[in-house]
Amino acid sequence: MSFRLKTILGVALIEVLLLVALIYVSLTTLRSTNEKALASEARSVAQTFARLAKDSVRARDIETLNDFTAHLLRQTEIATVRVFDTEGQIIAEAWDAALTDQPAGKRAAGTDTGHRFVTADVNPGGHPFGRIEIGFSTRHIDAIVDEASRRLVLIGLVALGLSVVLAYFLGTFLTRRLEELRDTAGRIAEGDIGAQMRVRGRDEVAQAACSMNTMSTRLRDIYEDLSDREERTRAILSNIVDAVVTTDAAGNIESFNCAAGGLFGYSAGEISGRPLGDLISGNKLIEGEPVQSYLLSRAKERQKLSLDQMGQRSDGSSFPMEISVSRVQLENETGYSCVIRDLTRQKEEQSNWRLAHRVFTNSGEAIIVTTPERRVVAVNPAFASVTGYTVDEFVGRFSSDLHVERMQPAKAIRESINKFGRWAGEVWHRRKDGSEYPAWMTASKIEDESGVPTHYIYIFRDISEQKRVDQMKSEFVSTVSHELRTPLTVIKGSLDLVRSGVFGSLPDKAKDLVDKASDNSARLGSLINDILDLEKIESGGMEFVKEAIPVGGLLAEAVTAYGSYAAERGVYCTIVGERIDASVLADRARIMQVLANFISNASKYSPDGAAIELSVEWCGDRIRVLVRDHGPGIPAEFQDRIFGKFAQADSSDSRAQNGTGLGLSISKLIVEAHDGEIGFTTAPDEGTTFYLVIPEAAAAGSETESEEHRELQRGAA
Amino acid sequence: MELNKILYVDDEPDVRHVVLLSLETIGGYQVEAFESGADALEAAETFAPDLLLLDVMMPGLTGPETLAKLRELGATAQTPAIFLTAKAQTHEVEKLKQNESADVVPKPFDVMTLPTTIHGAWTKLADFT
Repeated sequence: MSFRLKTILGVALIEVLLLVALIYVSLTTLRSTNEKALASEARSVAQTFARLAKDSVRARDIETLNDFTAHLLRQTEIATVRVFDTEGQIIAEAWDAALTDQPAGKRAAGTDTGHRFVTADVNPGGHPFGRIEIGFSTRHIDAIVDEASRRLVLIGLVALGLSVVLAYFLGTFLTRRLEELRDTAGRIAEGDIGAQMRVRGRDEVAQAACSMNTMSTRLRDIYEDLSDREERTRAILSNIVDAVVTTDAAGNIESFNCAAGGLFGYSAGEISGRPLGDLISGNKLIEGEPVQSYLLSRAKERQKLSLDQMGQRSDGSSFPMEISVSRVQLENETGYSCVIRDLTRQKEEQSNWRLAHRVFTNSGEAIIVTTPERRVVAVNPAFASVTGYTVDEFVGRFSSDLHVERMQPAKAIRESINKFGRWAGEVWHRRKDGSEYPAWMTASKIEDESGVPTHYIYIFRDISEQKRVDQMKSEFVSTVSHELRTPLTVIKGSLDLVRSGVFGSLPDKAKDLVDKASDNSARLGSLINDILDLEKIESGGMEFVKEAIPVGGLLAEAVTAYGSYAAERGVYCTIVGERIDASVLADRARIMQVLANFISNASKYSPDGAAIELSVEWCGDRIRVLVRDHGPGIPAEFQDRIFGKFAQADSSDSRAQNGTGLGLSISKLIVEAHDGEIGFTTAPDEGTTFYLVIPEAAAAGSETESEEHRELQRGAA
Repeated sequence: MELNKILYVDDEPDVRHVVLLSLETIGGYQVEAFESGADALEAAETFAPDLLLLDVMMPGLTGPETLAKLRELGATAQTPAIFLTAKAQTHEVEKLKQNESADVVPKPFDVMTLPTTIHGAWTKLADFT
């Protein structure tokens, strides 16, 4: 029932009650007033009639009495007139047929309804003669009252109608604002938080509206605040690196953050509502329970329960993960929040770490790891076998305990590591039993992110045996060198002496043979020298004493030294091209050896009378020295192996037979030992150019140069 | 001063023979050859050579050891010395050269040019002293 209807009904009810009371009171008053007026008039009529008719009553003058009564009856409201004698006998009687249908009869005065009876005694002078009874009809009054009540009811109805209309408008007026209030509340309820309504006046509804507006605003603030927080929480959850998944009490997924999406390959929508177990690979049981129920049944509030499990991606692949579950108890609900971390990298790192550890443990090289203060934090088994210390024994000691003080360039090592990142070289160490041994050691460091060294690593091996072998080899080479050269010196010396003719001339055939024997012994000598040179360079046994040599002088020296050799073969050497006013950093004897080789080759392959052209040119910041011949060029099939050992284009070539086949191999090694390059260009029938490229002395750095100078000075002293 | 008398020590008889022939026949020098340092030391004082020509690797006294002993003798205290060596490695040569007034002639040498080579080396050493 609407408020408006209630208002209307209420107003109507009150109105009806009021009207009924009013009408009743009005009618009652009207009736009694009229009746009193009638009674008073009746009494006055009755007394007047009693006085007028006293004589007739006394006289029993019926006729007059009838006259009187008839006359009275003309009065409108008098219905009956009766005259009684003292005995109560009716003397005269009349009635108005229009007002009453029958004479009063025996009806007692005042009791008849519709009539009011008034009596007056006829007793002039105190002597009773009889009594007059006049019956007044109340029909008139009834009519008035009826009329009045009709009108009152009409008026009442009209008033009631008006009231209802008024009540309707009032109700409408009141309820309209209430409806506004309701609508606003409805809007708020439907989500239009912060909706406001117009406030009119200062009545209760207005106050309610005011409160409503305040409430709505406040609600909006709270809502926005909450939204903000939720937004923030959501953002945090979304951006959190770890995957976060929440589930309801049954373990069905409710939320799934970005990281989880990335990790598992699901969108939040896809996975929502599915059981947490879908993210766990395999059907493993823990203590007889599936993983999900195991986790959920044991998870507690504010305390995480972690398990290492295999995660299952949407594509079916799996990966190692750590899943941590805690129970979230809200007012009426239980939920679970799960944080999942991808352990792939960690596992990889673990596996890498294990591998590194195995490498460390199984390495044949001894390894020491120290702190920057040189305190040993780890050594490997190879270390133990080299030094005689046990692993446990040496950890915690200082790496310097190994050092043989007189041999230890410890400071230089540390400086080199700090400057260049590593050091490598030979050191002397002492075993636990006090014996000393040479070791080849490389040292490096481990740095933290900011470049501060955290550890130093020393890797070494005992090279005693290697040294011993090197020593033996060196002695062998020396011995071979001596043992081969001595007989050769004798052979060649004897032949040369015989050939010289100082002991008398030989027959031609014998001389020819002696010549051949001499030439071949010379060649054997060269071969031995070349082999020994090659061995020495390859084993690192050859020392290169580098100095700054002006290139102009170098060419001139080569021409002087080998010009006669060329001349013997019918060719000549010449310097061509521009002069370069610079020096190369080189071992003079060794570079001359290379040039001799170039000139020797060029001589052999040049046509008679041809020139061998020597020149120099810049090659970047290095210098190129070229030796050009005008020979037939190098056959294409031979070019690839020209720097190989015993390489000769054609073994039947008589020119080639004079060489050892090692010259260019040695030259290549020599040039490479100068940080240089060796090479050639050739074209059929146009000739060949061999060249070497070595650093310029000035560019090679003053430090090296001064080093060499000191070396030379020491040598000269 | 002329180079005339040469004291030569070499344990290899064949080498000794060839060198002797070369120096005597081609160089025309007066050469006393010994097979050991000890033998040379005995004869040195009497012979009073102008040049000491020593093999390096020898059983008993080595070349340098022989030279050290010879330097203790009056006759050879300052006589120029030349080592004959197959050891052409630089640092070994340097070491030998550190002996005062000594030079090195590497083996194998050319017997025909040996007298000239030795004369050249002797001249330098003699000028130096």
